[in-house]
This record gives sequence, C-alpha cells and structure tokens, in this order.
Amino acid sequence: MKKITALSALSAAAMAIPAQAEVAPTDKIFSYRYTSYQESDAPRERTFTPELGRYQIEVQQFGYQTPLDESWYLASELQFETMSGASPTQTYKDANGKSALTMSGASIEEQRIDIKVAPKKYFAHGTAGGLVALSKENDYESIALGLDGTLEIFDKHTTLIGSLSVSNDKLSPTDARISASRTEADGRKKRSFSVYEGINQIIDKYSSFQAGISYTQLTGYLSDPYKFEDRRPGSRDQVTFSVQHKQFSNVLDGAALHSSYRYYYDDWGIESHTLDVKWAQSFNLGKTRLIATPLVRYYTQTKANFYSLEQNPADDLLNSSDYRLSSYGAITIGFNSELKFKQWALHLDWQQYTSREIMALFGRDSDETPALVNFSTFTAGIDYKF
Amino acid sequence: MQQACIKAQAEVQRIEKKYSRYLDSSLLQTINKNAGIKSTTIDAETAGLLNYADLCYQQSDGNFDITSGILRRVWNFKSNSLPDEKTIQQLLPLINWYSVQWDQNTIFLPEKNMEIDFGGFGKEYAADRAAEIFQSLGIQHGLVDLGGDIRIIGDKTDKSGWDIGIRNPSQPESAISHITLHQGAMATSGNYERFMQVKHQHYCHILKANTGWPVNHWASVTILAPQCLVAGSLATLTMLAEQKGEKWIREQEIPFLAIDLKGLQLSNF
Repeated sequence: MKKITALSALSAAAMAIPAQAEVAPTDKIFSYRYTSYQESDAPRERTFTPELGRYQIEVQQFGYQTPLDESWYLASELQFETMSGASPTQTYKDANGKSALTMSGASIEEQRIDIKVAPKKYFAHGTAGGLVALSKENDYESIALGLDGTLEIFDKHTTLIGSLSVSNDKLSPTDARISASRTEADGRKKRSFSVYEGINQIIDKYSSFQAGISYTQLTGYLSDPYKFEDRRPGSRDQVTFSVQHKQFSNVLDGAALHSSYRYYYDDWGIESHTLDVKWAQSFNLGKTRLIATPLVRYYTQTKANFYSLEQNPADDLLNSSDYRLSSYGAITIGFNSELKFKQWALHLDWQQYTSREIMALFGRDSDETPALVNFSTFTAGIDYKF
Repeated sequence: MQQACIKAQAEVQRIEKKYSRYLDSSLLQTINKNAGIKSTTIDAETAGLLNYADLCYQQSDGNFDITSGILRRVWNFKSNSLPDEKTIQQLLPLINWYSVQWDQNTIFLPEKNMEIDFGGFGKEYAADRAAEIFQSLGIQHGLVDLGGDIRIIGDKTDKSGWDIGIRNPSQPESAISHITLHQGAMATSGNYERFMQVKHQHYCHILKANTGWPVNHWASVTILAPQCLVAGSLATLTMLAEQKGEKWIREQEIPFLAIDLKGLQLSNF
C-alpha cells in the first residue's frame, strides 16, 4: 500500500475527469400517432352550393429515433394522410349585399405521404442538425432541406439557436383542364427560404426565456388553383418575432406554465398576434406518471390587401376570398395528456378550434367570412423507449 | 427545479447507458467486444475515468482492478456454493489491468475475453455529476442519494446540515450511527450488499483481484470526502486492504467509520 498520497491523488484524478456537455440522447424511441381532424360543416344559411361537408383528415404517423453512435442521433418520421371532403371555392357578395359561399362540389379524396429524416450531431457546447423532408400528394410534391444548430455559452445558461431551411414545391392540380386557373398552375413551382435566430436564457432554477426572430420568403405560384378568382402576388415576405417563457413550480407533483407570444407580419398586409398559454401538471401515481396539460390559444389577424368579396373582379387585379386571408380571430382550447409507465408513454390529445370575424382584435372588417372554419382534432398515440 | 431534476436524471442515465455492462450498445461493451481484436476509440471522459481507475489500481497494489469483473462468472452469490479454486485460477490471467494498452484516445484489451467495468465507482461518479448539474443550475440546498452513495448539493436552508444514517452491516435496514453533513460526500462499502453464507462463513461481493477471493476483514467502511467518487474508492480500497486498511485509512486523515466483522467500530469522528 502506498501511503498518504491516496486521498490527494484520487481527488486530483477525480477533478480531472472532464464533464460531458450537451448530451446525445441514448434511447431508441418508436412512436405511433393516430390523428383525426374534422372540420365542421359550412353554415347552411350562408352557403350557396348544396355541399356543406368540409375536410376530414386522418393521419397515421410512425416515428423512429435512434442513436447512431456516441454523438450522432437520428430522428425519422413517416406519415400517411387521407383527406376527404369539400373545400370553399369562393365567397362573394351577392346582389343584395349578403355574403354567399360556394363549395367545391364533388368530395375530394386524396392521399398524402410524408417522409422526414433529421440527423443531429452533439458537440461539447452545442448541436448541429440537418433535415430532409419529402411530401407527395397526387397534386403536389414538396422537398425541403434544413440545417439547424445550437451553441451553449455562459456556463450553459444561454443557448444560441439558429436554423435555415429551403423548400421547393411543385403543383399539378387534378383535372387541370377543367379550369383556366388549374391549367395555369399545372407544373408551376413554389419556393421558400426561411431563417430563424433565437436565444434561450435560463433565468433561474425555475424558469427560462426564449426570444427569436424569423424571416421567410415565398416565391413562385402562391395562388390557390382550386379557388375562383384567386390571384395572389408572386412573392411573400414574412417576418415573425416570438417570445416564450417557461415557469416551473412545485404545485402537486410538479407543474410548468408555458406562455408564448408571437407577432407576425407580411408584405401582403397581414399582421397577426398569437398568444399561447398551457399548464403542464404532473401527477405521480405509484410507478406511473400522468402529465395533464390544458391549453388555450388566441389568434387574431388583419386581412390581406387584395382580400375581397367581389364576385367578378377584373382579371388583372390581385384578388382572393380565401378565409385565411381575411380578418378574423380564433380560439383554440385543448387538453393533452401523457401517461408514462416504465418504457411506455400513452398520449391522448384533444383540441377544438373556433374562428369568427368578430373575434378579430384589430382591423375588424365589415365583410363577412362564412368560410371561416371550426375544427376539432383528436390524437391517440404511444411511445416505446428502449 | 423540475428542469434541474430532468437534467440531472438525464445525466445519470447517460452515464449508465455509456458504461453499463448489460447494454450491448454501451461504450464499455464495445471496448469489451473488441478485446483481443482491436482497439476502441474513447472520449476524454472515459480516458479520465480510466486514469482514475489506474490510480486506484496503483494505490491498492493491484487489488482494485477494473478487469476483475470477469470473476462474476464464477462467483454466484445466489447459489450458496463456492466456486472451484481451479476455475478461479484459470480466470486470473485475464485479470490484468497492467497489461491493458490505453492512452487518452484509445484502449485495447490484449486478450480475448478480457473485460473492464466501472461497477466499482460508476454510481459514485454519477452522484457527483448529478450534484454538479444541480449546482450549475443554481440549486443551493439538497443532496443526491444514489443507493446510499451521497453527494451534498448544498447545506439545508437553515444551515443545520443533513442528517444521514450509516447502515448497520448486521442489520442493513437500520442505522448504526448518524452523521450531519453540510457539504461533500459520503460513501459506504459493505459486505452486506451481495453475499452468501457457506458453512457459516460470510462471502461478500468485494473480490480481491490478486486472489479472486472475497475480502474478509471489514463488515463495512464509510468515508467522508469532498467527492462521492473519492469517498467510494477510499472505502473500497480500505475494504480491500483488509487488516492493513485501518493504518492506511488513518494515514489519509479523512473522516471514516470502519466496522470489522466482529462489530467493532473504529472511527476518527
């Protein structure tokens, strides 16, 4: 036995073990989600055409995440969507000055498939990731590429976040010959370029704050070929400022209040505000942990400059009666739940979205928007970690 | 606080997954699978832990050896039967940390079937790392307890210290002594964690690498040290030193409580 030196030698050696920083996840996770999205019928008294049933979408999502080695992690996702139902084609003011909605006649039945692959590399002081996403429908193809990174500074209390993405979409409307707008759209492209810069700051042991700014530029064919009299500009510049706050508390078995606000504007004249609040409450039930999260979101936007209910606008004028470009407000209420047991997690989520012209906070418009949609979503899912 | 707990828990799981001997995907298993075949690339953390293990090996004159885990193949403490001396002798050539070729970037176990494990200090290291994560996130009061290996994050709000019980080796569910800790760490190495009785003789899981047989002098050794990792290793090294352990640990001038097999308590606090 050597003498005396043991304590000091071991202490020095223990001190010399470098701490690992950003930790690459080591779990493999398989996840499945089933989501049913159901839009409410269009209002009978305000709809001109007989068809009232709107979109119904069923989504099946398979996710697989796995470490590739010590520092690389791969997330992948495969998604199938089946959509059916009718969609609004136009809203216009009739001769009596009352708004009328026309819906696409035949029920559209479509499938969509999405594939996403996102590798991520974990470094001592941050991460770097990539994203490839492909999406295909019978009338639409999209490819998106992204890069993202984080950098931890100031003893890991501050994280700088950045991301960059581009996408290239191709339109091929069904029955392209039945209307001029569909013919014109056939084979046209839509491109996007998006950049986000953000900063996340741990304030104290109970709270963190994140702020970010993003800029997106869309170019190409941005009109909706399935709508009547829909002629939009060939580019759209969008800017978003967002702030997020997370506050943890010791209520019951632990809770977290997430609140976020987002301001958006674009050069089409749309300005919007989104306020999100959710409360994630944990309950420890023996070996099971339940996280119940009620949430509420308020959204309001002003209309685009070229939004109008003109039934037959001049062909050289920009025009759209798409309800998404009108002035309105919307409230979402929801309840998410997650039940964790050993390696399993069960998810049951429900959300109800309601939108109305009169719920708009700013720039409320006298034009009615009967096409504004209400919908509910229900999601059931399961995760398995191994 | 939840935020800190999640991060600390993730850190403990990370260490477990990285150095688990039960997970095929762990770095440790990769090193072991490459034994006798090729060297394995390691990171700075692993090199730091190997350096630490190397010091423990030197300080214990080879009785603490991270290649000794292979003895688990013959020592089954649930069987209540002793392994055959000949089988132990056959394994001893594979227990040889001295022969392992390693540096800051790679490790190579020279013989097939050789293996290393960090079972001797992994839990203590994880307790230290978890506590340091809490500290880095501004938590000032609390402690991390990983199955009896304790590292203080910070004193109680009223500075009265944390009251910690030390297990009675003959009745591990009750405390033989209590101690108030304001900072640092406490770890215990005991013969009651895994053992078997054969012909009225107690055989515990702490095996001497030089002989392949269990230590047989102390029932338990508890050490207080600034780091849980150091406290745990000093406790194990004292157990391994058997009758020479008392003199050795007294020379370290660090608070200890050692209980021998007859129940005699030796302490300097």
